[in-house]
Amino acid sequence: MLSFTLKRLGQSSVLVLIMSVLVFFCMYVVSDPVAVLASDDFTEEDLIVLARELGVDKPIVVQYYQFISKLLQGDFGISFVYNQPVLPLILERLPATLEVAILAIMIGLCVGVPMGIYSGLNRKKKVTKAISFITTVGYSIPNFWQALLLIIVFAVWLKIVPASGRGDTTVLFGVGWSFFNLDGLRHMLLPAVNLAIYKICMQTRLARSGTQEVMFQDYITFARAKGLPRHRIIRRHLLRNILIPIVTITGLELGGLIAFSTVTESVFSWPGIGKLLIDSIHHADRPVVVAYLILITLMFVIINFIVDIVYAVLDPRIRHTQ
Amino acid sequence: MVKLRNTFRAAFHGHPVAIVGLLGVIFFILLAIFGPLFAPQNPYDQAKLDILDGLLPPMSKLGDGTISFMGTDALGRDILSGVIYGLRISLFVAFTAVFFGSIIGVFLGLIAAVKRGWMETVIMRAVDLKISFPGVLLALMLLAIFGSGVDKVIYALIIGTWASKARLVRAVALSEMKKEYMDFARIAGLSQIHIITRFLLPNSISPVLVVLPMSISGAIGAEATLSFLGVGVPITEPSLGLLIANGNDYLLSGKWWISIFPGLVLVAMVLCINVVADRLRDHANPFLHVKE
Amino acid sequence: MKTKFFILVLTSLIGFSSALFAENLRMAYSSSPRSIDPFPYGGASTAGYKEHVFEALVAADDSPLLSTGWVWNSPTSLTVNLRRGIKFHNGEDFTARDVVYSACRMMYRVDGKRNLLTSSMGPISDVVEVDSHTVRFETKNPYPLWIQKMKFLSMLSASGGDLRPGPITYDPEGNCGIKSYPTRDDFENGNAAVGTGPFKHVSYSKTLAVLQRNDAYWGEKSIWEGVEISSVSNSGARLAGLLAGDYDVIENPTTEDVKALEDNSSFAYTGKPAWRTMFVVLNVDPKGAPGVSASDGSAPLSNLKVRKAMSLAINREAITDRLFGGNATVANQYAPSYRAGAPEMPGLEYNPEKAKSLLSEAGYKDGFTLSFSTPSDRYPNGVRVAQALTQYWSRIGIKVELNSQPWSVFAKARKAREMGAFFYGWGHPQGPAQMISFAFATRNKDLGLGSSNYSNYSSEAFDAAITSWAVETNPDKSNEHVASAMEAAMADLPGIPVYYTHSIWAHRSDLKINGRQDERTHATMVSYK
Repeated sequence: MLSFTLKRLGQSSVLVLIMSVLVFFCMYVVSDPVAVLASDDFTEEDLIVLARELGVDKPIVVQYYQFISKLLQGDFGISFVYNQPVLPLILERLPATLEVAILAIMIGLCVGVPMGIYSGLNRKKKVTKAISFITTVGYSIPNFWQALLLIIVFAVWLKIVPASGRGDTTVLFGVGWSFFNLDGLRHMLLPAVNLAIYKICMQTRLARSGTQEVMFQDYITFARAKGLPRHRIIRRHLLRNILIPIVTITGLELGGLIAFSTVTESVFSWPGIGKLLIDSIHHADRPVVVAYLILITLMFVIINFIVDIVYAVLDPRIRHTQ
Repeated sequence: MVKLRNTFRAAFHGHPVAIVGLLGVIFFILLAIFGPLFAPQNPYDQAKLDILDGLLPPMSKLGDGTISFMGTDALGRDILSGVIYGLRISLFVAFTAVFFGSIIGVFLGLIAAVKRGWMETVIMRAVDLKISFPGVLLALMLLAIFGSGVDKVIYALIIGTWASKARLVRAVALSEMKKEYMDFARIAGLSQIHIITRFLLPNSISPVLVVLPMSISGAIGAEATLSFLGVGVPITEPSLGLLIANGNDYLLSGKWWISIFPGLVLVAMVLCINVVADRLRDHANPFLHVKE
Repeated sequence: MKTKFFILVLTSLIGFSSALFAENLRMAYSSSPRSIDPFPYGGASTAGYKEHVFEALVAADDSPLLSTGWVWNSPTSLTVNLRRGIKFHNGEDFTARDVVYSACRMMYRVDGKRNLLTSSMGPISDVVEVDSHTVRFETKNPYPLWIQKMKFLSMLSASGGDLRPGPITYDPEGNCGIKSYPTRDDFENGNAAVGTGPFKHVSYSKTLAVLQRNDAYWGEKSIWEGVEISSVSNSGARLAGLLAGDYDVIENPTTEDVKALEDNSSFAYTGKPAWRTMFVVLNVDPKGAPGVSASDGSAPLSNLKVRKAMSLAINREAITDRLFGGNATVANQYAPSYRAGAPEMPGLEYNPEKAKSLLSEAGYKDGFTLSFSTPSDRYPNGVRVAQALTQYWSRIGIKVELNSQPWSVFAKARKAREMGAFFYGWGHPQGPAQMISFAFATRNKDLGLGSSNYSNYSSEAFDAAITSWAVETNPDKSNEHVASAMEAAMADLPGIPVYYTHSIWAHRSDLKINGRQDERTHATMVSYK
């Protein structure tokens, strides 16, 4: 156990390091922060001074070295665009993304899993076929188009939710949350639903195939022979067994939602970290992009690690073959 | 070959929805290949377009007399022609990217499974790395260094697809290698290359084939998203995704045809591919052959 | 019964009227202000926001604001008279001491970083408090542009901190002898956000800024009790927010949104020609331009006939009419023709046949290859205009390759001078010669000319006129020089003007907007019909 953890830790550190190098040089190649931030009436001198202020006048390897040494002291650098420390910049926008991601996952689970179980148990029914078709349509629609259609239908035509923005927040533990606030919830609904539609489709399919697999197993036949009522079988045997793959995949999806909800956040003007990432890429704000991706890589590493551990804990077969 | 045909027949027999899906895929592919012969206009020929023909509703007449069945966009491009040509680009990009991406992925996955050791670690950690690296940044980098072009999008998407194939093939190959016949092959003295190409590869590749259609539809969507974010195909040769993105601005002001037609075509095409993909996957799933 | 009814009517009237005067205005900007600290940054949203709280000596439209007038005592000495009776939000009077203090703050570098006017104030040798309401600026060389630059020097209250009473000496090297100045955090948490403007700072985050009416404002008090400024960069979301009732006014709806509003009686739009010229920059270097090639190896863009042909090929009216629905103005010169001080110039012709024959005469009967770049995310309809231009040039036989790039990539390529022809826009808040002095003059460090000359254009006639302009403090003579310079440049076409942009605001139909030409959005523009 310990050696597994240590080995993973070592590999992950290398991973994060490589990621930082890749992104650093990628941003360097892609854009020039001086060119992006300079206004038209800048003289040559102004450009040189701006380069010095941003710290980009030195050779790229020196810049990287300075970046790494600061990073090891916990300093993620200063944003080129906002002129503020990067870490607080990212952290202050994190709650917004987290909330929407968690709400989307919850909707996905609460709607998708029951639908999937139903489909798995009732393969022949027409409803099942309809569900199956609808879910396939659901993840065939490109996200950005779906987002705008949702806005048009629910915000503009029906006027039941606002079209964009975050609305009011309630402050808890020093951080603003939309979840505990009616206005905030209303604003959160469409972005969460936009992300959730894809999740619902995936969870339905997962739950359905999981159900089909489990119902085929011997122990289910045995339980039925024993005379257990159907709902008992579902609750006690089916649910527990299909939850393992669902939970592990949900964990991975959560990571993806947190890191890359860029399109949803862009279209809904939702001030989360995904929007920060895409804006920073477009404004050549290298410190933000590099810090962001390092944090995201770390997050994925941790999530993968936890998922592997949970999987091993839940499934004794894996534990014993390690 | 016979086996393939039989598999096909078995997979689709009795599943009308999947058959319709398959016909749909074939229709779109044919449209992509032969469509330009029937298109009213070449929407990529800048000298023929005119903004004075812009934003005309469906069934309007263009300046040179042609009828625009689906209307025009702001630059005077006939939407129907745009959809036909855009379909070509969307499909070409997706198929090419997934094809080459799969080859690379299968290759690397096999190496990881067979060689084990540090090569496997490097490849698998590279897979992890790829998942964390945003496609947008990658596409932007290619755009910045090499300029815009359909091929740059393909490269970005190839890098996007190889990882899942590698992971899949490695897992399957690992379990294949534990099987008895592999031991026999090794004892019989067959060379490693022989084992890999004649036994390992054919048996490990079927899961990849099953996932392939899903990958293609995913690639179509990914290209559309990249184009929406401005780092996809060049704007003078739009794919379906770019046409939809261009039309987004007009949805709220009544000029629905610019976004809706390409959108419906994209959704229909992806839907058909996914329906076929589902059927192939369900067919390959042994648990479903048992009647309840 | 009657009494009850009367009370009901009375209370509802009171309620109604108090609602009128207690109303908040909710606006949505198209980009977020980078900071509310008025010193480091420019940019329309930062400028638009900070003007609610802070004011300067000169208004954006060249008129006196916190001043009442100015006069050049000599070419290097400017006396400015201050308006009396102005109080800051903290109750302190506005005097000449505050002007010196603000100048000092502008020159003070927080963390060693420069501010908006750091280099513009380089030529300023002294700022002197003549008396409580008169200030004198001394310059090293004639610096007529300083009047324009003063628009960006926000007035800060010289109080608090370690300021000792008594006159402040302008000494940028020594930070004027003051140890602590307000920092960006002080501005953002409101402590230092003390100006003379019609609104007071309440709170600020990058997506929402809240302001409150300054009831002690020296000028006309706003009808709005409070203002909320949101930043919504996605135009679809911004419009949807207006339609859904989240905002009362939004900036920069797209051309199509505007057409939609025409049919909707609850909403309306207001357009106002802005001070921005959109044009094509051409690299006229005879040695050749990147991305431009001809079969005979020559440099087509260096040939005046080719440039004239490219201008003749463009149907500007079609562009302003079809792509902007009339919300853009055809250009006839480099400065917006309606900008105060811009000269009268003849219109630019549209004649594709003539263009083709000119191209033949120049030796390019079979055309040439042109790589044309445009930023994809910077100008409203910019990409569509670039495509239209591509269409027009293709029709006269030029093989055009259009490169649409995100601004970050575009800016880098432009700075590295890797582009032979690109689409660009210049604002003119600092006068009619702003663009041409930067873009077409031969580089002249002392006078601040030619620092954005991507055309590699150099003309003696033009340089003579523009250098005279740079040191002329008499406004009429200055305009004459601008006219000569403009004529010289337009004769050579190192760039092709296409159109002038309009600023558009979409709003509730019961409001009316008095638009500005400097592209900024301000609550005082908005009133009831």
